[in-house]
Formats: sequence, C-alpha cells, structure tokens
Amino acid sequence: MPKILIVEDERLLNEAYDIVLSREGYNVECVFNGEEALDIFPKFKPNLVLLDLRMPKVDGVEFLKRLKPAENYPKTKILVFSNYDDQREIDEAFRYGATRYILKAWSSPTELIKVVRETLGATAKVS
Amino acid sequence: MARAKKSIGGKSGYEELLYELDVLRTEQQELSKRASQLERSNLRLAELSQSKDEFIAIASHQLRTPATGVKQYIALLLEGYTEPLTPSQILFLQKANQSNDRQLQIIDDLLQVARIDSSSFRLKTERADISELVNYTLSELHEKAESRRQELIFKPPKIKVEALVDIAKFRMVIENLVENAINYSDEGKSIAIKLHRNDDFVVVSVEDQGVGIDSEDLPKLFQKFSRVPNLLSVEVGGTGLGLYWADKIVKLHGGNIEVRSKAGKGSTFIVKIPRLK
Repeated sequence: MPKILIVEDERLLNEAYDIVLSREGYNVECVFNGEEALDIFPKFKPNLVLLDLRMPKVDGVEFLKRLKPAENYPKTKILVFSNYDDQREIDEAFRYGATRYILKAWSSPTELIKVVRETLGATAKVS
Repeated sequence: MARAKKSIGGKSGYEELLYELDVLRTEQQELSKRASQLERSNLRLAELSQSKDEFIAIASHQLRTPATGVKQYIALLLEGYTEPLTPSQILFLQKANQSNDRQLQIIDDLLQVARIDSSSFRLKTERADISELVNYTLSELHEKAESRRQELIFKPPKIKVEALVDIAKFRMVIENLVENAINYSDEGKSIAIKLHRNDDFVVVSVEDQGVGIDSEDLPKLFQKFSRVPNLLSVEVGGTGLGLYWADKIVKLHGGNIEVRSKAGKGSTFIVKIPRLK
C-alpha cells in the first residue's frame, strides 16, 4: 500500500487531505511543518510527500534542501501543494526535487486523488 | 534649468568668463544634487514596489487559505464522504460552492493584475503551435459550454501556425475571451473560434451571438475594474479585471486585441500577435 506523508500547517486542510487519502486506502501520516517532516521521513519512508511551501519552523523549500530527495530518496515523489503561485518559489521547489506542483485552492478531493494517482504512477496503484 | 542671463556692465571679458564659469559650477552642483535625489527616489520606489509584490503574495495566500478550507469541506460533503444528503442539502451546498469559487476567482484576478502591474513582471516566451494551444484551452471549457447547451466550434487550419508566446499566459487570454463568450451568450448559442495567419500576425478570433456591447461602452472595455452593464452582467458577476489583464498580456507579446460588437448582435474579439516566420 503506497505511503503518503502530508506536510501541511493548516490543521483543517491537513485533516481534510487525511480523510480523502486514507479512504482511498493509502497509508497516511500527517505532520505540520518541515521540521516534523524531516524527523518522520527516514522512519516512515513515504512513496509520496504532499508538501505545502509556506510553513513555520522549516518551510517546504528548506525541507527539500535538507532532505535532498533526488540524491537520497529518488523513488519518493514530491507533490507540492501550495496556495502560493509565485513562479520563483515554484522554480526553487523544482530545483530541490519537487516532482509536481498544484495550486491547492482549486483542487477538490477528486482532483487530489487523481493527481496523487498520476504522480505515484502505475507501479504504486492502490489495489 | 534655465540659466540666468544677466547684463554684466563694466566687466572685462575675463571677468565675464569667470562669472559664467561660476554660474556653470553652481548649476552642475545643483544637477548632481538632483541626480542623487532622483537615484534615492528610484531606490525607494523599487523597495516600495517589492514590498507591494510581497504584500500581494502574502495577502492572496492568507485569503486563499481559509477559502480553500471551505472548498475542501464542501467538497467532502458533496463527494460522498459523509452520510447521504437530501436533495435540498445538496442544492444549498452547490450554491455555497459557487460562491466559494467566485471568491477564489476574485483573489486570482486581483493577484494576476497586481503581478502584471509590477515592474518585475516578465513573459516566459517559447515557440508554440497556436492551433494546439487553442485546442487544449477549448478542451478545458467544453464542459462549461455544454452545461449551457452551447457549442464551441473550432476548425484548426491545415497549416502549422506558430508564434513566440508565454504558453500559460496566452492560454489564459484565450480562456478569458471564450469564457466571456460563454457567459454573455444565451443558452443554446454557438461560439466560433477561428485561427489564421497573415504576413505578419497570428490571428485568433472569438465570435459569439451574445448580448453584445453598446458602442459607447467599447472604449471602457479594457480599463481596469471596468464592467459594462448589460442584460447578463449582474448574473455573471466579475471584477472587471479579465479583459484589462488579457489586453496587457497581448500587448506584451507585441500584439493587440480588437473588438467588434453591437448591442444585441454579439461580439467578436480578435487577438493578433506577431507570427514566427
């Protein structure tokens, strides 16, 4: 079963994504900033990280800089899910290992599931 | 600065020259002072512009976040994450969702306009097949047109039509024009999208059979926050920023948008941008 780490500081959104993805059968862990994500990552080893960008303590880009997913975890997909659509920030996230970017304001649960499935690819489909 | 011309009676030529030199020196000092004041003002303006951009980015995020929360939880209800809802509960939630979409759209519009007005705004242009671009844009709008029983008619030209465009921005221009055509046409009316090229330009036109625009309102159409009153404008809503933004984007591509319309007779918006030869 694919494992998804939700990194989102807005508790209501974090909870909503947890409800949606857990019901789809994914194994979900939720944290609220990049620092907690760095802590749990090596133990949980997610297939996909749903990553917000602007968060307290350690933000999304800083999390990617420290984790170095391309070098250390090349199989993990990083789905940036942010309400900031500042191109410089998005470019920076991609430079440090993001796989895909989605503006979360317009994404319904159905769209979230679709994007997660696409990003995980055929090999990680939920049975 | 106009130099004072004084009569210097009784002075020798040498004295006059010294006097002139003195005047020139004073003026030069004054100019240097003004230049450094101007430089400081420019720096201050650049700082203010950057603060404004940062403020807009933060404000839009702060506005988007709670609106996103509302959207997610409405969607959880509508997409079956709870016990079954009654038809009237579904209807009310759909109305709440429409209102929420509207709020998010306003935030997006404000953000887009603030960005394009900022000094740091740049297009990211690349070579693009405009026919493909129009097709892709229309595919995103078919559902909306079908919900109003409207047909989007587009026959791609046989020849390849290419231009240097910022693909994401140019798609949004076409989307904006076609969406306006959908919104301002009655149900069941078709909308024709045409593409061709001439010697210098790629031309995309969007022709509807909608409510049209009164000739006296045409000059206001591309102004910021301008909303032209018509039979559907209250129903459609809007910030009056979409055409302002689209016009600016097309001008940044070296082109322009023309409009031909008469009240009650439909409208045609014609986008021209330089073609790749």
